[in-house]
Amino acid sequence: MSVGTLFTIGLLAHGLQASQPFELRDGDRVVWLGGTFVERAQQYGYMELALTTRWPDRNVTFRNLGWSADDVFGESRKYYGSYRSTTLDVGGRERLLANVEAFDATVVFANYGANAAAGGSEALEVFLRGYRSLLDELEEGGARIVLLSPIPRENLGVPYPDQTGYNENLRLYADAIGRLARERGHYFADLFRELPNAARNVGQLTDNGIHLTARGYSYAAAALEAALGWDESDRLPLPVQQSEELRQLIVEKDRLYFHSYRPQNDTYLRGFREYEQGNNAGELLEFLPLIRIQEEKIRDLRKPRSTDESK
Amino acid sequence: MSALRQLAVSTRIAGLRGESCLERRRIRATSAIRAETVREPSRFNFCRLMLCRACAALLLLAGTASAQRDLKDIPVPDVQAEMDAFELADGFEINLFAADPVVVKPIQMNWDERGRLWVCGSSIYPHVKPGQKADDKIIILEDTDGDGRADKHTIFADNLHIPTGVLPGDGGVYVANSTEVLHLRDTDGDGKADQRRVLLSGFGVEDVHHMIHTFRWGMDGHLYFNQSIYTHSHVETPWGVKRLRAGGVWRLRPESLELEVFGRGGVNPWGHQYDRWGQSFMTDGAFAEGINYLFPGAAFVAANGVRRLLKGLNPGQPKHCGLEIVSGRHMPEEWQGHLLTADYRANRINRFVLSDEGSGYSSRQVSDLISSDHVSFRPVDIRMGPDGAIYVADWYNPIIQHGEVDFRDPRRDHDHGRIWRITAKDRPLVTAPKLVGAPVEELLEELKSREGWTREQARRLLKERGAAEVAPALEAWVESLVEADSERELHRLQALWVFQALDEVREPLLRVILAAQDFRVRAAGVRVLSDWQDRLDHSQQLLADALADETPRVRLEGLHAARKFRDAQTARLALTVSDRPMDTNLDYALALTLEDLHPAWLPELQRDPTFFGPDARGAILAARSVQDPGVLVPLLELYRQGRVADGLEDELLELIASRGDAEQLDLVSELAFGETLSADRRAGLLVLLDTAAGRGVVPTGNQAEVLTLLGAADPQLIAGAARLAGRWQLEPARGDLDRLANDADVEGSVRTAALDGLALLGGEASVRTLEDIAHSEEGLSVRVQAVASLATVDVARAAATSAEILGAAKGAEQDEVAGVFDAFLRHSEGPAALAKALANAELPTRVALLGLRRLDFSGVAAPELKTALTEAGGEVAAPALLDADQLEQLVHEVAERGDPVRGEEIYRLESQACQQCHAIGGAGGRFGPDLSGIGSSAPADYLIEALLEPNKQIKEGFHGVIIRRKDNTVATGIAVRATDREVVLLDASDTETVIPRDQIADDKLSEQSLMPATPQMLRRDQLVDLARFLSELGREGPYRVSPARVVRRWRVPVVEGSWWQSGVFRHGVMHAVRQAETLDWAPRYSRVSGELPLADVPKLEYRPDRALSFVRFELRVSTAGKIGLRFNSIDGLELFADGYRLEIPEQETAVELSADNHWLTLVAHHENREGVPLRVELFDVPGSAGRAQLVVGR
Repeated sequence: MSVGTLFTIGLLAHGLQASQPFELRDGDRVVWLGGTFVERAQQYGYMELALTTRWPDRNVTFRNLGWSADDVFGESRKYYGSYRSTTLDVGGRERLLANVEAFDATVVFANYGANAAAGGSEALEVFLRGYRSLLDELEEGGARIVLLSPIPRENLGVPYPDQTGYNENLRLYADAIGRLARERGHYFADLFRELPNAARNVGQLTDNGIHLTARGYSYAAAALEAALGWDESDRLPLPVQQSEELRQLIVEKDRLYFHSYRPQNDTYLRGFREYEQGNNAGELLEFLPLIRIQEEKIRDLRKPRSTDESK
Repeated sequence: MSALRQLAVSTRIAGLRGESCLERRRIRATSAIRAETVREPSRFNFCRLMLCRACAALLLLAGTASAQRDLKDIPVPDVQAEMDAFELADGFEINLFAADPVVVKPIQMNWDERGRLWVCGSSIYPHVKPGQKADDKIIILEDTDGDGRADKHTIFADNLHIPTGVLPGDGGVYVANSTEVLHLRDTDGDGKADQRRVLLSGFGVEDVHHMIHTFRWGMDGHLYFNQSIYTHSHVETPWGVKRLRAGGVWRLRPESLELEVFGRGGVNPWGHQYDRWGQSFMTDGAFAEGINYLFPGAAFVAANGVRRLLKGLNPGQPKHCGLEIVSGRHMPEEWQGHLLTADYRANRINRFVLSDEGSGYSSRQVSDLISSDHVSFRPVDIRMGPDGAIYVADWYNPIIQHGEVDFRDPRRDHDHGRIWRITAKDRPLVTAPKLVGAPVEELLEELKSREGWTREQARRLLKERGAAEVAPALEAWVESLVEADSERELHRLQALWVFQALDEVREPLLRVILAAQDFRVRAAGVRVLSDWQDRLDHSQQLLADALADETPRVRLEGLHAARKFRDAQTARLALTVSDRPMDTNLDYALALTLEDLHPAWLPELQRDPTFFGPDARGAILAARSVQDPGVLVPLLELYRQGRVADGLEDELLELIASRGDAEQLDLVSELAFGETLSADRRAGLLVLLDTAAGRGVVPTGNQAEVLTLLGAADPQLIAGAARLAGRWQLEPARGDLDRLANDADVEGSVRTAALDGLALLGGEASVRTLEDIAHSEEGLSVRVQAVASLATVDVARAAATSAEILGAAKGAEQDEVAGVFDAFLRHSEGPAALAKALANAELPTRVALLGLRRLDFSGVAAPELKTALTEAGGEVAAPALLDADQLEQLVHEVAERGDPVRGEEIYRLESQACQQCHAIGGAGGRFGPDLSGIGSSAPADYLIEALLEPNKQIKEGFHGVIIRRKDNTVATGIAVRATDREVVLLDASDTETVIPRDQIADDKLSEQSLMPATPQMLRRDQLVDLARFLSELGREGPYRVSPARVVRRWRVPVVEGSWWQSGVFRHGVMHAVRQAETLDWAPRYSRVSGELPLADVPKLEYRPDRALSFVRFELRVSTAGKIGLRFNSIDGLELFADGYRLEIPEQETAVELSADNHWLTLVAHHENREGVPLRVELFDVPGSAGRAQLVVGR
């Protein structure tokens, strides 16, 4: 079967959605999936801020499901059935899907490949196979899916390693992810190319060559918008102060969600020792109204404030 | 209580348990963590345990009456009251350095170069409340006027989430903040952090007392930190993704973010410290082996994915938190180098003395630094201070359990904390040098300091000054060191470490270090060599020298270093270490090195089978270290060439049987069927062939030859052949198997094998034969065996037959039917089938109880069988669970009326089988937790519940795993080791079963505790006494396990009267002692006091007025020489070592023993002993090199 045939099937299955620039709709529930790039984004909130303010009239909510060093197999999300047996170290993929489903996501932003690229061209097929099987499952939920490419690495010199070769691999993976998106009729956001464009001549975006600083994430937000084909001039600018307040609300909302979906002590709350503290797992539900309160504040603040209100 | 909170109590969120997750996902309405659908209660709401949970929750909410049941023991958090309760070692005194409200729940503390103490603490612990801010703090404490009390404090950071590690350095402070390692800095000088860099992230938080902790600067300038057992860490670094599942020690170079796993395992490895030569020691807060010698690549209990584990140096000692090594002029000379670690559960700080032994150390506990009966004194960290005093972080909390006590239990303390300062009386304090802004030359001189504190700060500051400024001065300083200084080698080593920290390679200095007189300095040099190996001119030669060093510790370091060299030549070099005496550490390190290097050497060995030498010794050693079946080809080639010496042949054959393919297995079958070997060895090979068949591998040819062995003379051969014929599905064997199975005259073992063989052969014919035997008039044991075999072929028909056998069992033979239950519990469909067959059946009460007991012990959850047995047994009532009032009443009775003396006797009853699984002071079973300190950490309510409802609380590390094999047999036990190829299960009989992963159909955690519930077995007053005994264990008083090396594990002979008569009466005691070697020996254990009552030992009355008993214990002599034995009384005792009589002239006696394991046998003559129990203690004989440890365990 040719790539063309696959592409056609993909288009049929997903109703030509990828032929238009991606848009968020009123009521969308968006999840972010990926590794450290996504996980750390919640400490800064810039990318979510950009998506939140793009269409101030549309109510869109977000959940960050990034997990350090995660891959398409959900390796980092596995948990202990029993600590001593790796046999029972299971369920990474299932946990990821359950989290997506719990939010009833209508949009998925997935960012994988940054770690898999270490395997180079030899490991590309395994990566793609894993990604396809992940997409098989995600597509069942009917969400619109946006595949984000990994971002490039920076060469910071000694004592950090030279990342030139790694960037070659990242390019290879970014391109393959782009083809995968086309093949399955999903959107593709090429951060690998757009981040350097968005941050031309601004200096370092990372402090270790691979992870963005706060500043780096603000450029990543711009790169994401560009990669989605969004014109910067379309966005209603928010006053700086209000924008910063909004960003803080987003960060706090993400923190609350983190403690409810991926709580500390999960071994005792819902894991294999739940017989001890399972009664306290109910507390996790108490985060939900707190998240909603935060989301109401976000809803109120994502439109430019009238002068009266801003006092 | 809010509506949400109520919901929380009654609503379960579907958990993330076990294998059913995928299934659950398909049931969309109940999917995991369906956080957004609060209103829709999960269908998992009301599981059985939930009812108990709800009771427990209600109990806590019901008000003070029930919550107070332990609160009455909780002291007021008054500093003076805590201080008054301290007992200090002679010559020491204590004062308060800092306390709440400044210090709150301190977890770790470390000093900076200005002599300020940085402390992290958490009031959020154990678990964040919804809406709670992350406001945990880093506090800096300062004693500005030198009076030994902190008079200034600064809140450096107040926005952290359960920070568990703090370490000043690089112009700021490194902090463990849940998932992250942070570096916080104050850039504007206002004393508060204003810059926050996430250095690394992705550390696991599955259990907050397992999160990353114990931050330490290594001698090499790297940051070391630990994580504990449930933690899964997944960390992206610029050098790649690093993952560590379960406990271990990380090594980080902060400037480049190079991160590696230094060691693995440990349940809660909460202490890590280096000695002066850079060797690491570790303590564990949840595993009782005292001091652990931690070297690169070491793996301890519960390490993930490794095949080999090391043990601690003090098995059976309390669990520990924190670790510091005494140094400096303020401390008494005789305390220098001693290890201090907190037995936080028993409110005290223990002290250990190390001595070199082989490649490692031996460790001996000596008297405590401090103890207290104040239950809230919880020493968790210990550090030597700039003034030479010992500082102790006191977490101050009456409750220390993490999971076992409710997170919201009001008895948990969230507000207090103390830092204590312990000084030596009448000894001058140390004046810390001024290090801030000191010239490099002065800092270098401080590397010579007597104080570890000063050396550590100077080393770090030199690294921070950078290579450009420091390296030239350091070169000059090394040159200036004079030979006359007895510590010159140590100073050079300090210099080498600074170069290493600066990442400045200096080969000439390294070579000087590697040629040092002091082997400890050479060993440290080899560690640096391993880091620099790819940047040296002569690294191969230096490694070869290390591996050939005269001292085992240097060779051990050589083996670690060898792992960094990735070539085959190095593997060959590493193997030469085995030409000299080996020990546990060397065996471990060599195997690990060979395993690590196997991608390099395996192709070489395959090219040239004599790559590791002309004989097969090296090749077999190398082969054993890896699991790759590719090693067998060269081994077989060596065999064909006649290079495998006789002594090694069995090892080779075992390797082939465990990993070989069908053709390779032909060698084993040829030898098994041939006539060249003895019957013994051939029988052994038949077992190997059976094992191989178990993993689906059978020899290519000559299978039918096994049939001729069915007519062999030797019963072992017949038995082996019978089983194998069945396993290989050789139908022509059926006639012989039928005959053997029905022949009442053949040996029992042969008959059992024939029954097994028939079952393996399978088919209707086998089922009928087995049924016939089960229904026959033969003895019950054969019928039980037949039905057990039948259960593996046709579980339903076996169940029907079993119901009859069980129902008809009478009198004493009722105990013989245990095998029936066990057979069904081993089969995945067994319990259900037996339950069905027992419906409407009637069983004798004793049989039903036996079945319930076997079911309890199995760890298999089979409620239907439990119900069936309970109903069939008529009078067997299900034990009623306690309600809150009843529990409180029991707690009260334990305190008022419980008698620990009677309780200990109940604990020791053979019928209770406590000691089969539990140890005290390391002696006893290892299937359940060691109970030495249980009373000091667990309140009485916990203990009672654990006895009555073992499923309610299962200790970490003791969860049962149920593995179903592809043939539907079930194995249950604790997974002690697991790799990607196999899982090793330990069962209640202390047997380890290796289960290859490719035979596993599925596995899950047992929801049952592996501990049987006790209620049917005990009267109420007995339960109360037992609980009282347990609650006294570890507390100050007669039930605290003494640190003395007292013999606690004994063996007594299992003998018949006639044997005694002939053995002793006719030939004398010595003859009998020697004869006794051939007997079976049963375990006995000392009382907590160390005494073994003579009543517990079989007694022979060989004349009307004369009686004697044999009892023996095992010693592992690690260094040959005189070993001291201290007896409570030598009256009526004779002592034999390995069959020879030794004199015991007095209560303290030294015996000369070789380096080996020895059995020492005591013969007690009752008429002269007059009922005095036996008690023997080990001591080191002054002036003798002899060192020995007691062998503990079951």
